[in-house]
Amino acid sequence: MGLKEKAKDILLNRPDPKKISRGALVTMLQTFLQPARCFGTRSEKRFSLAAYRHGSKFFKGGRSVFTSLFTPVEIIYAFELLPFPLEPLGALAASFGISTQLLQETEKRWLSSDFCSFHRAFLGACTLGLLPRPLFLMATSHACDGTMKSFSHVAHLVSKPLFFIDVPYGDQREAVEYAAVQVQESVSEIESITGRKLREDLLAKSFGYSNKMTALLSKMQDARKASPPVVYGSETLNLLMVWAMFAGSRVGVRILESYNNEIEARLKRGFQGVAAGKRVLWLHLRPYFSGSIMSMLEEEFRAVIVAEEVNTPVEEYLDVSNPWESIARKLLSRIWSGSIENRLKNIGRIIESHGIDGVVHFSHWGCRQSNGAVRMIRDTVAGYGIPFIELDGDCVDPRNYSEGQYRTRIEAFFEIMERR
Amino acid sequence: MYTAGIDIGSVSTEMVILENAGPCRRFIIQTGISSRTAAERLFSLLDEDGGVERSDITRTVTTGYGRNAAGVGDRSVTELSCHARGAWAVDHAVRTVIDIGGQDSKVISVSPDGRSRDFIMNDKCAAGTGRFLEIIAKTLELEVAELGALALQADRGVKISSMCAVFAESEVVSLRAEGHPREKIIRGIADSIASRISGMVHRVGLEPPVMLTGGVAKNSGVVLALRETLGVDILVPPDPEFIGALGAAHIAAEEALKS
Repeated sequence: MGLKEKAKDILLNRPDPKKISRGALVTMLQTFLQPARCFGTRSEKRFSLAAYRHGSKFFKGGRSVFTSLFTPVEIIYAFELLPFPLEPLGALAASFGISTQLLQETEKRWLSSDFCSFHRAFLGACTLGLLPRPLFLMATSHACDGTMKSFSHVAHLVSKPLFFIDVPYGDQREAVEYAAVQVQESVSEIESITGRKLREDLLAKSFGYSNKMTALLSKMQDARKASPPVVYGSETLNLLMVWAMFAGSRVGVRILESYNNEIEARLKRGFQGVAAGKRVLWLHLRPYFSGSIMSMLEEEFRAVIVAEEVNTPVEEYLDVSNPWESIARKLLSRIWSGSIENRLKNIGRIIESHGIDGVVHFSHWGCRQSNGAVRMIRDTVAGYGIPFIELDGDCVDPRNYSEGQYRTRIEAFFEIMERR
Repeated sequence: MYTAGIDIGSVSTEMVILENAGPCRRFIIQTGISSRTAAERLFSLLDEDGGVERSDITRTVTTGYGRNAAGVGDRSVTELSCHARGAWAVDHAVRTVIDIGGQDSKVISVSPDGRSRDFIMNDKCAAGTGRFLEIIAKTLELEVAELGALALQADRGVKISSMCAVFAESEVVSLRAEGHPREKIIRGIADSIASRISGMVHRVGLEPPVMLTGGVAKNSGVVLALRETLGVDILVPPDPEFIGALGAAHIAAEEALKS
């Protein structure tokens, strides 16, 4: 039995978190980050090593907190706890080839297959008892409407409290106050659970790292405006995980610094490793299981993703003198919060700044909040006179994947781009 | 100069040979299990037919589901581009193409110079495709070719609620058992296909003239249902199943001239 098979066996047949070995974790992460064609270098290594250490601490029973994708994990770091985002588990499981089993686990328990497979995957992992119990859970209502339901269910499974921040619509004064109060209340709850007061110096440190990360991401996205591209977007799409896991930590800063340095160095020396024909903007997430469409698009058709919507920097900086309000402002200024206009404006901005030739929206099955906007996105993109394609599929569940169908769509989209 | 276009679909494979971009020869066969064998058989048919030999062909473009697997030709181009080009070759005014093939259906917006500028393909299921009609024909113990004329005999159709090819089959069996005439059932099937395609047409943007291509265009019931649902005239070329191959042959001719 190879290492990968052994790891799968442990994960699925003997799901005891204590038995999740170093090898299993390393193999899982390696599979997730492959193919690491461009960043098989320092930044890639730094990211995978950091993720490994993080996972290792978590499985060894570190004081962890289950978080959602946009939980302000800076608070978790300020309490010297370990945030463990649940949604990326689906991506990890898909790339490792075990997502089907996790999803089946939830299907056995009557969970609707219409529900987002990212959520179903972590529900499956929790049902199997794959994950060590956290101290508590902390989640936000954006970007996914299903978070309240799935996190409540996980809270029930692990018998731990859930602190939920309901992110309101709009960014007016009342909305900021409404979110800020919830953040503050969550902090009080965490203080009573952990039995320690939040230390201002640690919060300042965490905010400092987070702000630095924001600046680094902005810098990196600016650098990627350059032509020709020096990195594949299918790899930078993984950076969403860096935010979910490391926002507010020194490790997060180091990872983004590493990526930035690498991009800068490549631009300086005229890196030719990315063969680019057309420049693509990728909207929403990507399929994570093997044999997916990303290499077809980027390597075969040389339509390189030069910007991803999910890596849009949030230009709100955290302020320790007004911590709860600044966190609230940051939550509200994400493109997924509030009116769809925010998302459309951002798409327009990227098309203009990155010299985009075509836009792809991957409509992940079950993701109502993203797919519901496709018509408006299509019209926005059409306003710029460039082609748009919506690819329907699932990021986590490989069971409905048909390569031939995707190939025809991507190739036809490429043919339209090519003739322009 | 001879150029060839080969459209390797899931059900049938067509070849069109052009001589100086004008019509010359054409062949159609069942695809079978191998795209490569299907393409080779067409070349054998061409050789047997006499007049034009494989070696005379300057450039070949393949398209359709088996375009890459066939391993023949100088280049493969998607059926979206080829149907746009083929329909445009028949009528330069065409702005929207509806292609209902064996396993999928597509709506293509065509630019004034015969290029695909936008498209929508059906979901990954057989609803509203040629395969769907085959299943229904078999259930009603008819040939696919008989469906069109029978549909026209009904003044209105029975409502078919299932879009899934498999469920529609059992629904048709139930409707027959309830005593509904098969003409009305077939008309109902045509209406359900038109309703599904209509949504796709409006997503791309309905811009007349609209041309229906692919084998299903020979089904006059579907043509009528589409005409009524969309409220516009539906152009049907003389040999709708050859439009993809025709487009591929024209693209080959264009490329051969450029090179």
